[in-house]
Amino acid sequence: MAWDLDHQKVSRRHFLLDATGWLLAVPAAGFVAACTKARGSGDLAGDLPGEVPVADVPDVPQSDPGSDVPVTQPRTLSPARFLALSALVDALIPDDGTPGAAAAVAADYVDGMLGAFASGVPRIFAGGPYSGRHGGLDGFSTFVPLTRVEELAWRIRIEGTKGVAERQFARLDVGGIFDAVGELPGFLAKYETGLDDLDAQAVAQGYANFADMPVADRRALLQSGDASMDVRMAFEHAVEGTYGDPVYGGNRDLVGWKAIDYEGDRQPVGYTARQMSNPEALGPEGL
Amino acid sequence: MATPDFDVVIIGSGPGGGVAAYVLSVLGGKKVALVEKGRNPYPTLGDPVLRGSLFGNDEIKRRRYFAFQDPVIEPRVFWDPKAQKYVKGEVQGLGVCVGGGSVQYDGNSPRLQRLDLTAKSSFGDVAGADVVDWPMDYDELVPYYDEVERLIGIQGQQGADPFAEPRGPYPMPAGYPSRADLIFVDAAKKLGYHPHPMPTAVNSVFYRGRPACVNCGFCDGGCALNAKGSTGVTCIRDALLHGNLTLMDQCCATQVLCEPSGGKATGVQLIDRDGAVQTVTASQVILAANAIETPRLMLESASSAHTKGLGNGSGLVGRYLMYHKDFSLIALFDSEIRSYRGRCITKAIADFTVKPAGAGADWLRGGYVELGGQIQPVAFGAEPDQPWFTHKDIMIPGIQRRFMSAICMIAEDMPVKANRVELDPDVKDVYGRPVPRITYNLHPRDKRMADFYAEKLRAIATEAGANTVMPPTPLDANQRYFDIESKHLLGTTRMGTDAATSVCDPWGRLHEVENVWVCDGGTWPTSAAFNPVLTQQALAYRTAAHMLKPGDETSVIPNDTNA
Repeated sequence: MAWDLDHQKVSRRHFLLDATGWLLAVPAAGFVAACTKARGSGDLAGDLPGEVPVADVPDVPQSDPGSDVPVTQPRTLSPARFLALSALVDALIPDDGTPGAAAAVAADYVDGMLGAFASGVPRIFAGGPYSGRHGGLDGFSTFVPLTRVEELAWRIRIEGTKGVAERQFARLDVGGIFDAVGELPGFLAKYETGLDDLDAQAVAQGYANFADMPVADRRALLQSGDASMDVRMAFEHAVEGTYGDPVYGGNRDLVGWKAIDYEGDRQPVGYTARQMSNPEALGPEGL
Repeated sequence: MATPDFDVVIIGSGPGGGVAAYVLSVLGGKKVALVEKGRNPYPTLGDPVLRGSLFGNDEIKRRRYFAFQDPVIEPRVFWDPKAQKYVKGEVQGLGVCVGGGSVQYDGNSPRLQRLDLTAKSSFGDVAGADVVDWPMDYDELVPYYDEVERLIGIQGQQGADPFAEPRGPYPMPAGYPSRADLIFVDAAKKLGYHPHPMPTAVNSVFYRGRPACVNCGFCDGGCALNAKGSTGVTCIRDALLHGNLTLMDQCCATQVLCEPSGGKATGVQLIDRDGAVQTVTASQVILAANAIETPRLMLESASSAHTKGLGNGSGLVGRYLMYHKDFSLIALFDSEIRSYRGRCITKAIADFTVKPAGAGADWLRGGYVELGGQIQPVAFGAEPDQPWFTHKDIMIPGIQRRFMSAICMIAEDMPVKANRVELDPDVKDVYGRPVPRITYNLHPRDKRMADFYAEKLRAIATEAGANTVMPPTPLDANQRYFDIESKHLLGTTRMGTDAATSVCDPWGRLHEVENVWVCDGGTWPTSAAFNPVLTQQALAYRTAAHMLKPGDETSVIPNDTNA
């Protein structure tokens, strides 16, 4: 979509077309229904999302023309865990009439973060100053090399302290005045154990796995407090993956921004005085 | 004795350190080392033509602590008054990068009022607090205000604030206001208040080689255009081009080194970007790391001559921590606001800083009021108070983006001796340094003040037509009394004439160490009722001018305003 405030007619027309498209295309049942449909109809070469031959997997996640929801290949998690992760973010921000985390492919955002150090330049901080969507060069795609301490910070976040000597200062129990004890677990371990537990609980309830559960049941499980998954952590990541810049994965085709009627990044054009201060100029139709 | 490496070494490149670096190296011709713990986010800084920035309209990068204090590697321990215990985590984080706290701030740059420097003589003693007058007169600050406003680039409207001290024109005209702020203007006027453009360190026009702001709304992530006048893209850039400044980014100072007698510093020890310990010697040392990090470094610099910490014979280093008591409300409207379009704050009122005619004996001085406020969607959606299971009910209608604005008061808080920064005995940061342990509780006067003004702020929002004001009346006591959102770090190395009751002299020099100076908010004896950065910069200019020409400080200010 041409999300350009300076080209009013084109922008407005595209907005309306896209909005209509969402209403027609997005299924209320969300990601899992789409997966089930794809599996059942044999639209893909294998079970979603990981059994497509490697040679056929593009670097950039692609949309599956045979379903209503984009399909993504995991880069970090196992296919089974990625399926559970996709079902998890879908449950947290469901596609319930408007696009949510599944349409935004927020699972790709999370998976990319967990595997940030697999890239030559870790994919933690996108570059600047512009995305290129509104003019100027795309600087976002050139990720910023980490400093020594930034790399340590993000290795601790993702991998945990794990007994590594230079990370011990960040253990939970340093100081002895806090409730938590032991090594600080990283995002990766928390997701792996949490997703496995979600699958196990789903199996205990008679489902094939967590992704097999209806979205309402998945939400109920997450709300029950019975799951070991750090739901708050996952939710914040789902929000980031739905409404953050697409350079990090997630927010596929700006679907998260469109869903909430938000223009996203605006540099280098910004907003005119009229767009800032005049209520008649507010909203995409008025631009 | 060996010649020192530098004439001056400055710890911290934020508002104070950046200005001091400019004055000493450009105007004073001194060989200056500027030690900055964080990265340089301006890849072409020092190039005469290019003006690069690694910042962008990118919420994720901001949430991942880019160029900011990261609590995983630099946690703090602080007193939680609600939980009644110390906790470890994120509190009062500021920019950790070249430019420091001037990078991600809103840019709000009001001057103080004369009253702010005379809290004791104007309003009297307050039990349980050590209220004092500043050891200088407001008029002394004026030439430094004028020059710093020109250097940094401040927009505003002369004469629009009837409570401001007399002044000349601003370097730049006020830019366009945002809808989030405008919506309160008529209501404030109707209630007898005096809304005016917020003086802001953001270009409204092309200024000194930097472009005008395009109002993208991402001020708090760092400016992509360099339209905001951080000290990085103003003073430090100018000083690098001049050639006398050595910028040592990614270098963390760990100790101020002294002669055995303790009367004179010889330099600083630091950990460089590769993790190696190095020593930088200098004839003068300036501490400008902020009012938490500077006392931390001073306490770490204890020696046989300074057993309680550098310059801490009085035992006051780290005490009298002030934040400002800010409290805010959120207002929802039926009409579109889209508060994310535009600079953070474009309108303000100062009516609550001056006693109105007819006010009773119970009147308390409040503070400067920011009209408006904004939040981007990831920050809002992931706010800790937002339950995940109702997320879309809030996000899809876009209440906070489309219909919400805010009002926030920046009010003076009391200098209380028990509010302090210490070194935590157990918790260390990534550099192996003991982290600051912060104890802060509101003084009863601060609570009375919050009670006094809560309904006045609410009345503005209601008059403006807000359909909902949060928190509801009465303001929830937890929010009103405990939530400290301000990052205005002040007071922990207070200046004064008496070495028994202050840490620095009236010029910012430590009473006990003749060549160590403080150029951050720590020197403030009282917190004043306005955003502090511009005054902090003016004070740093004044200190640096004194270092160059004691007794003739204002002669350091160039007459040629094109310099």
